[in-house]
Amino acid sequence: MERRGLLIDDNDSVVVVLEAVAAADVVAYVSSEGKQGSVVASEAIPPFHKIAIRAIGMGEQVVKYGQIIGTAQADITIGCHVHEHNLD
Amino acid sequence: MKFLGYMRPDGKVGVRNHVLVMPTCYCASVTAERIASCVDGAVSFHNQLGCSQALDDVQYTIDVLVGFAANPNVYGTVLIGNGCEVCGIAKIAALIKERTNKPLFMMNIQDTGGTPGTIQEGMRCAQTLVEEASMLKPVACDFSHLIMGTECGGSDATSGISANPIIGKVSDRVVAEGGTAILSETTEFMGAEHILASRAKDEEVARKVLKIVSDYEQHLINANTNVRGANPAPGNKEGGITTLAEKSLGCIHKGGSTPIQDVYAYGHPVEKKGLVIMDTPGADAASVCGMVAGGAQVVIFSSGRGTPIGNPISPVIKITGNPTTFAKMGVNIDYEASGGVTGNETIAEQGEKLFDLMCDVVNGKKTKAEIFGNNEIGIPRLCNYV
Repeated sequence: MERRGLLIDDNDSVVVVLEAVAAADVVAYVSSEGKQGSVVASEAIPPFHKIAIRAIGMGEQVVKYGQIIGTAQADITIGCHVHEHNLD
Repeated sequence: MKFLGYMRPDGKVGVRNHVLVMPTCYCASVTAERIASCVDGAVSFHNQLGCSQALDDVQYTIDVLVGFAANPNVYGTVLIGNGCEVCGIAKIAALIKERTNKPLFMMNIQDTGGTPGTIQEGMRCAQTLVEEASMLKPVACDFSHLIMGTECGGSDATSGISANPIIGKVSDRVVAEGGTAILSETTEFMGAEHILASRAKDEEVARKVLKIVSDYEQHLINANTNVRGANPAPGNKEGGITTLAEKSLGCIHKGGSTPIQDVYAYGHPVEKKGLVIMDTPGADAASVCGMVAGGAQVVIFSSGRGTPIGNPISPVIKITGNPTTFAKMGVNIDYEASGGVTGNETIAEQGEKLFDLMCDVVNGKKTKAEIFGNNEIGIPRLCNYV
């Protein structure tokens, strides 16, 4: 199914999912500046949690609001849930 | 633009007309609360502190007590002490009189016949003040008299993308109308302090912003603890917030987009117009307390998870960016600010609607927290009891 997402800043590496997402759902997102895209979820993601829209290597900084929110604790592939288990 | 307010003899303007029955220490809390519960128009709260505190620690308590009595929403105050505490009534009364010439009564339980005598005398004083207060009629006052506090608590990821940006629009509007908006919660500047510093009106204010953040972090390090151990809280994490920097980046939206005019210590009187910062803990009841002690007559509070809390002195308008939370707990929440999530309305449109609601509340509409009698307070501590 297609689900809605929000890209807060065009430089972000994650998107906020605006509804519950199941594995294989397509998250279609748009930014306030009008940038559009979509990503296939590789796992279930609860509403308002983050999904990676690009590959983020272990030790790389994760960007939301156009700012650094933490460091990846594992290799994160596109479509993964980004949360406590892989971000600190 | 004008609002309806109660003119005080010290030149300030209230949006409520409370008589405050104030316990100066924990020994007097139950007695003060019982007095207020017997007198329509009186308010009180449970003070857990006021004695057995180191002098630097008790200063926070003193600043809250004095600031509450001076808050323009208070017509007059009845101070209830026990008689031997650090925050004695004579000391607190002298500090209140330095700030305001509003009516003030005081008594100690030890000298007023214990519990029954103090309740009787306290009721008599509160009744006198309520009678006087009831003669006041609100009049049209300039917006420059208004101080609005902003707060977030029980945050989830909707707070940062919807509710807080909507509060930010209200902050911008209050500033444009000549009033004051307070951004608070120093722990939730951590990781976003560079953005706030860049919005300071000059380098001195930028240095103050950075200093309150580094001082707070150092304070916790000195106590051998780490802010990130408990912040974000479990509910923040369930709601999609992973790191403190992420929480902070959502939190600071409440301040809107105008330059930061100054930084105030916890509970200190706010005098500048425009957007200011107050150095408060992220603990929501304590942060709201500091802003109310600083003079805020109204507070807007976002909660993605939902919360019932209010304040004894100032109306607290609660909003949520999470439509599920509003469906579950709308009875406690004054406005659903979920436009940034649902796309049904824009942040700017909801900002205008929330500003209108804030004006309604300032003009007398009761908040959910007022209707339910939520009067939670919190006062920061420096160290353990002595």
